[in-house]
Amino acid sequence: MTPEAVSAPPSLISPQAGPKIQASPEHHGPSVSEQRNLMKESFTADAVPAGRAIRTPSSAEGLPRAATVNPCRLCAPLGASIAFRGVRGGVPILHGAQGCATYIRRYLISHFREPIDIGSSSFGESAVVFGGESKLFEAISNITAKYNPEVIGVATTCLAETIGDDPRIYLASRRKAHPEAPPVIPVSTASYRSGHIVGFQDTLKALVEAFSPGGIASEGPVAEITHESAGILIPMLSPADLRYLKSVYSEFGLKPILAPDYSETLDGEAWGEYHSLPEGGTGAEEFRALALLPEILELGEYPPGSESGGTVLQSHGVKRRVLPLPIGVEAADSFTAYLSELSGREIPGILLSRRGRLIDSYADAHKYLYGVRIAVICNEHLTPALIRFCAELGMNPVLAASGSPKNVLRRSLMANPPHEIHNGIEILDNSDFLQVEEALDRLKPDLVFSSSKPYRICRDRNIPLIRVDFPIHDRFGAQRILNLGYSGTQRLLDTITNTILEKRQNDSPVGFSYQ
Amino acid sequence: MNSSASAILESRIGQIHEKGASPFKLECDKNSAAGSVSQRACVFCGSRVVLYPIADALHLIHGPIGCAAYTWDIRGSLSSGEELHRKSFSTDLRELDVVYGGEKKLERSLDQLIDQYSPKAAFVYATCIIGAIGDDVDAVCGKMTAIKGIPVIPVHSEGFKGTKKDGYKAACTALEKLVGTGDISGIPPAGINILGEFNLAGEAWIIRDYYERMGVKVVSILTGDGRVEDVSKAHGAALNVVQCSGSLTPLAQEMEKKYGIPFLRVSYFGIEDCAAALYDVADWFVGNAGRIGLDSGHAEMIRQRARNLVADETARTWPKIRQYADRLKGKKAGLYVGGAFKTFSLLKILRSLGVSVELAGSQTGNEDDYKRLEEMGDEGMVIVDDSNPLELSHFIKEKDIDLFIGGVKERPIAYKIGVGFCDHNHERKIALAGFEGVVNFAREISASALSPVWRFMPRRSAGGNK
Repeated sequence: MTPEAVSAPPSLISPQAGPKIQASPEHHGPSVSEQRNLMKESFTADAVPAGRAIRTPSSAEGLPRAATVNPCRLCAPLGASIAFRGVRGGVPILHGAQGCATYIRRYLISHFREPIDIGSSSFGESAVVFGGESKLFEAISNITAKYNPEVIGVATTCLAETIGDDPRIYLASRRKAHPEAPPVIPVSTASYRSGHIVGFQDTLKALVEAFSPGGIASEGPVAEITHESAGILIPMLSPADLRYLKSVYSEFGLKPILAPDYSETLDGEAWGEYHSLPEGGTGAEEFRALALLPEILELGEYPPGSESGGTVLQSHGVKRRVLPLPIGVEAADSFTAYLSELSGREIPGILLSRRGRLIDSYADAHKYLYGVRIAVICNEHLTPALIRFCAELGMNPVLAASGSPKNVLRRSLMANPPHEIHNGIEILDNSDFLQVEEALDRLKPDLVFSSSKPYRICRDRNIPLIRVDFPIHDRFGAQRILNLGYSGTQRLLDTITNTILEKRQNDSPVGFSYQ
Repeated sequence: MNSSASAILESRIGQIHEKGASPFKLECDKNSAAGSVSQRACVFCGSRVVLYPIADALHLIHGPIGCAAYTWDIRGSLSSGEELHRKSFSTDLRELDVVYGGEKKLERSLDQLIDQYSPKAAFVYATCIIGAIGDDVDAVCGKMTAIKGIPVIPVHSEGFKGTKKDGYKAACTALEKLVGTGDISGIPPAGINILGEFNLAGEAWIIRDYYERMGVKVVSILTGDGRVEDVSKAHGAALNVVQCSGSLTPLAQEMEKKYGIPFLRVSYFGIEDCAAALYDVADWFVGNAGRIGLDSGHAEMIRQRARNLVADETARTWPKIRQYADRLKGKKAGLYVGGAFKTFSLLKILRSLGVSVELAGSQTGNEDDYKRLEEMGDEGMVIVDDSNPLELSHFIKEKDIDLFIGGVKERPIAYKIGVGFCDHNHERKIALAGFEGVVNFAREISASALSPVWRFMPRRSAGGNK
């Protein structure tokens, strides 16, 4: 809850954006030292002394609050459930009491508007006393009988973790006894350790581990690897983002293995009758092929020392490339340049024209956006990407907040800072919306990017809310929100600009229809 | 894909019954089978839904973050003033708290939150891991009650200690601690409490208005637009009128034992049941006027006013419903709701609209409920207890259902396979109770069942199933 004092990097000003598209293996854009040098050259008009560029809020200096009020994060098994839904024929089981599965189903259903079946080992008191082994076996057997899954994922709840019930132990003996059964892949997802974003990442890591050499599900068919094969690991994104990533890979002639792939399972077509297993998902054989690829791309923010599916593959000799989410021209350029390098192909014309139109619209929109104060309260992968994107447009990011683990957001933004900071960004890691509320009153942003959760606090302050993150429970089409690539950036730019125009128009006593 | 055999788990066969296929027999009140993908939640959920609408109380969820995150401002319970219930408060236990115990964090949380928000009472919900790590929540609550001078009440709602019904009981136990603590002087003899009404979309206000028009004083709605002070005075009422019988009956029983306040079970859904509720209350006052010190003239007046009210409201409501009924005639419906009591009313309303009920079930019904449901239903109606997506979708297909009535978790099942849907759960924002609620309900189901979009769905379009 308490953001630590941050040794702040200086306020920065953007270099002249050049037409070149290039990727750097460590981070996109100019290096930090380059940027620091640039900082010395000039400031924006309203820039403040360098020491205030990234700072700790004053409220944090008081006694820390004990309770969390209006949380910014959800629990780890929710992330696990989404990741397991991205496995072809995958059914998640939450190991614990019945409520966790039901609450999570309801939360996911209200966002994705899809049926999402999640099993539970339905702990009663005896399971708490004697352990959950027999309940988990019962759940696996019932799920197997009725769903005929290809893969079962078992995510532990707080309860199972607290009583020390570790399915990894007894699932190993079950596997020996029933080698023909579908693989059951356990992951430890106690919510007193982490939230939904880490739960997702840990589950992807568990999946990659299980299907890689030496893993519990490594035996079995392996997808054929060709020169066109390319692997990509993702953090929690929208189904539309997943589809977009696959299409961009295809435009480079690449055949992507995207893991996990819930682009269809959580945003599918109408059915004539109920399908126990929705179509789509990353196949077991595709997961097995990941460790055989020469290279893997992992999207998102991974502070040094963090473990992920990508680091597991790295240990199997796969070259790991990490890129931030491709939002904004610069980040999308890095992504595109990476694909060009990977495929050995020129950037396809369709992408160049998409980029060209986006640049053109940057010029058309820039004046509406310059200096507009922005607060981003999204997950720890999306928040830094949106902050950099807004900075790239000349907007003024004033708050970056997340329910992320301590220091994660701060480290990501320090390692790869935005090009231009007007007068400082306040960073709140491990935050809740009460803390965000206090920050909004202090920093008075013009726009908020988040999920639907801060709707009330934005409404009370007459600040428009742009919904980009999970969950979105008060709008339609959350599963089709595209944030990534030149297309996603274009959509975001149009949305942001129109939101600003609409606000001005609504607040104006004149109300011109011609702006 | 799903024949009966493939849709229903062997261990669940006893929890499904088809009227006419065999003599009535249905297993229920069982824990959910592991891996059955039950639509039920947990003990905590039961407690949380009952106490949630008490708007001037602090609802602190003691445990890791999930339980608080998923119950933050999710219900349509309205408040006429304070809205503390719409915030989410959690002790958000972390690994070290789990290792060393969460009592200190709980105490500090209560101390700070009570100072900051000045609630009239605090409910502390113990979640699963509290039961496992053994925090003495009662002791912390007792201590904070003494220090802060407001009731700080533990709610023993560890998720694994039973079903949602046990959560209702835990909530009732918590309410019992408030009832009887307030000043009841000045409460007139013709006073009632409304139990089991959560003021979704302002429904409690609609119902209270009916009673007030009848000359009956509503002392407390306990859990709808709830206030701690009102709950504390609830023992000043002559009668408890209980809706949603599953959740608040334990409190009504306790109040009968402790304060001699009898209770009536009612439903406000549908013209027939809503009228019956008002008549039953009026009749009760006529029959008990002497005992409760009510002037017999006043009691007769209540009855007369109830008759007038029902006549007026019915005359106003019926023509509005008729226009829907004409178009809905012949449609087939399925119901799956939390408590079975609601299915009785829904069955009656749907019948009055010309819609047949082919499938009815609930998460927590008991044997008597299901027996009554079977008696009310038509031949061939399937009854399910504690069902799941595969079963529900199987029966939707088998019975060729046009319209499904349920909650959030049932909605995507219906829509995915091209079936109309009406939300009759706690998250809805449209009033479905009372006379005006019937009109809303008819409009709601018509908007879905009569929509032209279904002809594009694989189920109905040429080419058939997909």
